[in-house]
Amino acid sequence: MPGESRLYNLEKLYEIDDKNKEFISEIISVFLSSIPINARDLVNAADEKKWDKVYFLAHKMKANIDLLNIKAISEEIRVVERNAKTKTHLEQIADKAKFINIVIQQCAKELQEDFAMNHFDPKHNCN
Amino acid sequence: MKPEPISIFIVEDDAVYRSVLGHFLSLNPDFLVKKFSSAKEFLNSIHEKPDIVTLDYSLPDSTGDHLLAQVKELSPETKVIMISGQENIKIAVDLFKKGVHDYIVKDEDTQERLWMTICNFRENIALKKELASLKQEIHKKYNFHKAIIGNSPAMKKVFSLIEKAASTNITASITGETGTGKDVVAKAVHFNSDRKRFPFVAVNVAAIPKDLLESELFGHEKGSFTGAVARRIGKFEEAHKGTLFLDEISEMDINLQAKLLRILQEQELSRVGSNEVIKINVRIIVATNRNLQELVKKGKFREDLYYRLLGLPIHLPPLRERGNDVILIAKHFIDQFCQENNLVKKSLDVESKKKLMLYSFPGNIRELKSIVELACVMSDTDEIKAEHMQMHAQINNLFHANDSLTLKQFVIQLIQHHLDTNDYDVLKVARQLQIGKSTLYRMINNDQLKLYRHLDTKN
Repeated sequence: MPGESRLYNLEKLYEIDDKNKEFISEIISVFLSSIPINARDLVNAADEKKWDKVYFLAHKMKANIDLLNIKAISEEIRVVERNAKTKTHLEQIADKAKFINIVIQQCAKELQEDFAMNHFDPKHNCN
Repeated sequence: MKPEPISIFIVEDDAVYRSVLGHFLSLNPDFLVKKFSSAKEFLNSIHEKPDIVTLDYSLPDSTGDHLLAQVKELSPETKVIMISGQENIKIAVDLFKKGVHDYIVKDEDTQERLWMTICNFRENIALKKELASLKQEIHKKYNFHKAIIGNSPAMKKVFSLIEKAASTNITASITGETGTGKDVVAKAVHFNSDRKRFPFVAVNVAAIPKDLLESELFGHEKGSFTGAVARRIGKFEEAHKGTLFLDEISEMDINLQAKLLRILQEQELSRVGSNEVIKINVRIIVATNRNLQELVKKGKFREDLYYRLLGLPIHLPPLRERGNDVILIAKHFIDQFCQENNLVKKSLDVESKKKLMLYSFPGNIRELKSIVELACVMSDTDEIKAEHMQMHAQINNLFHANDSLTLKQFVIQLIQHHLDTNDYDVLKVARQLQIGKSTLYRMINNDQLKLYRHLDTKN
């Protein structure tokens, strides 16, 4: 069962349209096709100290992370976004980016599993 | 009334967010949503002129304020909602100054707020659309084959002249007895021409005191004469790019005629009390129920202005020369009146039709309208009988016969009537009336008969 020990939570999507499984599936597949890549890019950009790119990616990912309610990194992504923009505590960014990436990849794995098992039904979501 | 659908463009590079917003808004069947992932993609479709566009502030290929400026330029009617990932008051204030309609921060409530905002705009957009459709309605209304009724050969000629006048910018001069619908023809020309999107301004020259006419037509500056407390633009300026209809042009003061002529020739004017020269772009249509040629001869109308205004002459035949049109028009007015007043649909019986056909209608269509409207009121059934119609002049006074007419006068009127209805073909009339053509020519030489469209003084 998804939800018990999952990193994500789909409640916000259900709030938008809880009757529409297709919609949920569409959002998950769009998420899976873009955010894991963005997370890897974030790590690379941080390693290469391209702070503007770090900011742009973090800024974009923030809304997605909030949407799937990935609490584990909701604070981290904001710190990365803010630091990259204001160019402060830049030394913290690379580690945080790596952590964000790990959580996202794990989250993606979970989503893929649940997706394959067709578990995206509001009834099953009891996080 | 069912609300009009409104088109919404979502410009958002974040695929997930784009899908979420798109889906959320499509939940309302009245929202037609299109999604775009980049500024470039969006600008390629902006010619569709969406009602609302939501812009993500930071796009990979453009920024919000840059894109806002482009939307303002390319589709000024579109309402712009900026959606931004950060709460930055400075940016928000700046965007509002540049004309963004709302600024929404991406967070948990984004969708709800967007929904609310769009619902608020909707009313405004619906009103604008209604206005636009009403404007179109007006144009349709002047589809002149509907506005002007008639199947008679005389009217077919008028229709073809209206079409000719509408397709060019030529000055048109409309003549015809009172109540023949000169103003309707002027509108038909305007609303079928390229100028229809611009104003149609009508001025009744006879209705404005002659001292005021000048400032009415050309405008005045503040203080240019007693009572000129504010600057005022004249009818010529008001009709810019459109049509100026000067009704009863024959009543214009001779001094003002000179000024009008100059303005028409120079295509520019200056307001009363001003030296500033203003270029004008106005099509002129004039109308009169008097014979201008006659007035020119008498020195009451300037000859040069006459030729300047003559342009394409459109002569409206009097109703009594339009044969069956009388019945067609009467039916139209009856239907219209019954509908407007919630009366049962009424029809004309045979006798009443005869009565209409025999009547001379000195007041033409205006008179016909009042006669049939009264008849509608007088008739208690769905049929209008002859007795319901009260004519104002004598029936069958084809040549306006009255009791004091001498035989000679009657003969002259009879011949004149035949001349009028036969395009002044003297030989034809002579044959018809079985009189010698030399007799006719003699009467013409003696000024007893006229060989041109004349104002009937008995009328």
